[in-house]
Amino acid sequence: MNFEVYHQLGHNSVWNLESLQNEGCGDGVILSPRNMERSKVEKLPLTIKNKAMFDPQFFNPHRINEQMTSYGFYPQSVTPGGYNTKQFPAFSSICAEKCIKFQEENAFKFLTIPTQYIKSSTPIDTLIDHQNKYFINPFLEILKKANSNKELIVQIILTREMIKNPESSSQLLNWITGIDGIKGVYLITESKSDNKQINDPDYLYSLLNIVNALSENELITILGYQNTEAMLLSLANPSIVTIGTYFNVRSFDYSRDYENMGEEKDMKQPKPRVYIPSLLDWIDFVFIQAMNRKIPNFKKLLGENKYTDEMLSPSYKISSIKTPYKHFFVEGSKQLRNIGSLKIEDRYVELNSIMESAVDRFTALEEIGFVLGGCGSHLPSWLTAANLFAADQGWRK
Amino acid sequence: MQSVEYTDIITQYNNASLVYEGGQRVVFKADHPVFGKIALKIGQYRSAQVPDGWDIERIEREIGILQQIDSEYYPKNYGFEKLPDGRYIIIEEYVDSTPLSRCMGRFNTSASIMDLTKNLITGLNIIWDKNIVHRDLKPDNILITPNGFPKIIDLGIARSLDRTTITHPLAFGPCTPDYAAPELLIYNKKLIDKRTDQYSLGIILVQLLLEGKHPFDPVLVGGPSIPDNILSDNWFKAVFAKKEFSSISPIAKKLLGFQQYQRYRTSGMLLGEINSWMEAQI
Repeated sequence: MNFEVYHQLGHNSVWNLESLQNEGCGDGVILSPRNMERSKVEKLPLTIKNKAMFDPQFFNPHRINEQMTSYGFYPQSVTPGGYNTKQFPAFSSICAEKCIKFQEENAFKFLTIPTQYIKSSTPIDTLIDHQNKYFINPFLEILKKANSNKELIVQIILTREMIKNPESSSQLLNWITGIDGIKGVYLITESKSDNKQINDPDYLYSLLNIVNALSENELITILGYQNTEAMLLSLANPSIVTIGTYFNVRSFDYSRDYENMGEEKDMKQPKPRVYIPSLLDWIDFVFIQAMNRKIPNFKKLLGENKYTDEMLSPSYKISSIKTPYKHFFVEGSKQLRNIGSLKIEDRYVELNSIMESAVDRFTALEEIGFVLGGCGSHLPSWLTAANLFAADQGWRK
Repeated sequence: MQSVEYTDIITQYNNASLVYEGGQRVVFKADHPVFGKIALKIGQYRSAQVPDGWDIERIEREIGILQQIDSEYYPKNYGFEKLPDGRYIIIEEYVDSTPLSRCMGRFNTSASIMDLTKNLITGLNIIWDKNIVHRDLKPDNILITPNGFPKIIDLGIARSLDRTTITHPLAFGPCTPDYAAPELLIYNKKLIDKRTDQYSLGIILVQLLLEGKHPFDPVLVGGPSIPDNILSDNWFKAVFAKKEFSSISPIAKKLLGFQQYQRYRTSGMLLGEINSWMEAQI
């Protein structure tokens, strides 16, 4: 079944909204209260809200930033004296009521039950009890009374260890698929990869199996905070995958982005990088002009759109990363839509061919003389994960 | 020697005839002025004087569930009384039937087996909708009426998923180990949900395909015992090599998913697949 592409909003979300509204890139948005205060969300046009999901970002109930205080429903806000685990259960229904009311009033496409980030060292039973007691049960109780007809999505965060440990992932899947009344799962996965692109084949293969299990249970499966691995995960038949701008919306990392929430220093502008769809990777912007000079039909490899023309113009000087990101929205969403339009078993054949071509192109670039650091190093892992998964599904002869 | 004193009770009914007499329980078929033919169950509950009597909590739980249900898939309960002398009386609809364990041969085609399976799911769905898990589904607890219709009995260990605790004195969970899902055998209370009954149903389905042989029986698949084989996911999958059964394989394999997430998330999904199977046979 075809899947949709949503923008994972973060800093400078106006770029995503322009891309969605003016250029038809993507199908909807996932709203980030961390980056957008309540009044701004409320003022969004209905055409956006109706295709939006709200990411409650309860990840760290102890800390919220200034924008999040404007919502008034965070555990930190509703618990007198601030959040603490002993007191919160008495206030969880207030939190649930306010959070649901906000989502209902804004007519978002889905209703999301939030989750707290729980460290991998916590026993899975304890994690399940905690999430049920603090979030899922209070939200379900309020929703029962609200009699809402919206599709109910439960947010789940899986750490690298939970994904790779079959016993943990089975326990978590048994729990998730047993939650009565939900229609889907908003899955956030933490990879803690030391590479910009996830390059652990066991992690990717395990994650493919988890997504596949959710989809086989006929749950709407929304994959949040995705980088280009959304292409690979399309093999497991998700319902919605995400694209985003800065790395913190393309890769979930609790300790980097949420542990010290509210104490954020000014964000350093990231090194400009450009997504090259035929390489399934982001390349430092400084290489682009030289690649255009040396590689025949480079424009085709980069993707033909107005941002490509702009970036390849000899007079172009990169002053903002806006153009490379908008280029990514065009090319990334196009690539995802193409793969999504295929039957599930044909996706493997197509993706395999894209990955093998990308490997060949990296080799060719190296032969010409380009030294691109670790770019493309994830591809053997992706190919391996795809092959193992395809063999399980009977697609690989 | 009479196990339970019943004379004073049955004399209140017309045409009482003994159907069953066991250690601490007797069952009569009798006429009731309001309900017509009834099953009259008289027993002794556990007390200091009768330590091997029936667990009154278990009886009350079953009665409580049956009184919530008005369905052709369950015997109707008309009344229950706990007497101060240590006895209890249950008045139930009398069902002219044979336990499935004694009439498996009546279901000897794929179509009749799948039809029974569909009926059982529809019946179980009535308690699943009330957040109750049967937990002891087995051929002895399925009564087959003369026209092949099932009635599900013995809800004594059924568990409301809303209840936080249930006591049990057994090594396994309260269940019949040969028909229990892995999570019941390891008695992981947190994992027991509606999908637990699906597993027992899966065993019964394959047992019917195997003409009464248990699919986890060591005679068929080796291993030390049926419960051990259940815990090691060792069952006779070769049954589906038979061409006429191959189309049932995806349904049976999903019902017998070792993990709950490998089974059907909702009864709607399960019924949908059975209906598709039935339509494909036309």
